[in-house]
Amino acid sequence: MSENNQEKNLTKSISNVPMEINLGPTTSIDLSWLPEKERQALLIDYTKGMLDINKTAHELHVDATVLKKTLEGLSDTTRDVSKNGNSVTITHSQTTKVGRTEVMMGNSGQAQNGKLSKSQAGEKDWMPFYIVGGILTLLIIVVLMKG
Amino acid sequence: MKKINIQISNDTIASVAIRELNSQISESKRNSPEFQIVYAPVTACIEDLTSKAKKIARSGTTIHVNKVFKLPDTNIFIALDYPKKTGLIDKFKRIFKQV
Repeated sequence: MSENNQEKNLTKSISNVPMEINLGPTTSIDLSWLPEKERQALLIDYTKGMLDINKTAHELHVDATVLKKTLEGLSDTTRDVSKNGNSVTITHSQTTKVGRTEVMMGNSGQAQNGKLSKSQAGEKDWMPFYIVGGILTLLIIVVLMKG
Repeated sequence: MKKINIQISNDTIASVAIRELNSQISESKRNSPEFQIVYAPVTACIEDLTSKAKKIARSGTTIHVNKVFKLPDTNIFIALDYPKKTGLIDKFKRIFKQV
């Protein structure tokens, strides 16, 4: 009976928290000198970091795959239209958490230049606002000079 | 934040472009398991873009792709241009050659 109790106490004292973190195939950090609670906290932080990295890697992988598929589709369309003797310019832009993509394809002069306009790049084009603002300013100046 | 630029055209060899990219990242960082996980899609993209450039060049149309990968501490800019974009210096060189 007393031997059983001793065994139970022994089992309780064995920790489930790993004593080291593997940082790579040949590198690891020894954590055995840390108290169990601190080791646990450190391992939780490490696991969270690894999850974030894996999430980013997955997003990057999706991003690269989407670009691959998009380019395949766009290049097929461009080739077909070009073969028929027509002029074509295709633009595509996309912003995600892990990056940005801008594509311009075709056989036209604009496509050859490869410069996306602000609206094609998905950015706000402020030019109309500047023109309207300029006209309004001119009107105000004219009214003030007459008055 | 470190910025790395990689230029691709129809005459680019994927392995050379990847080597160029590797040379701009410190070895310790490149070998860290965290970086290797996020680095794989970038190299896959370079391989894909180089093959696309060759294909597009054969079909006679033009292609321009600007791709930004936001990695931890590093932004990688990949530009695919066919035909190659000529800068002001290249234009001057061409004029002087003609003269």
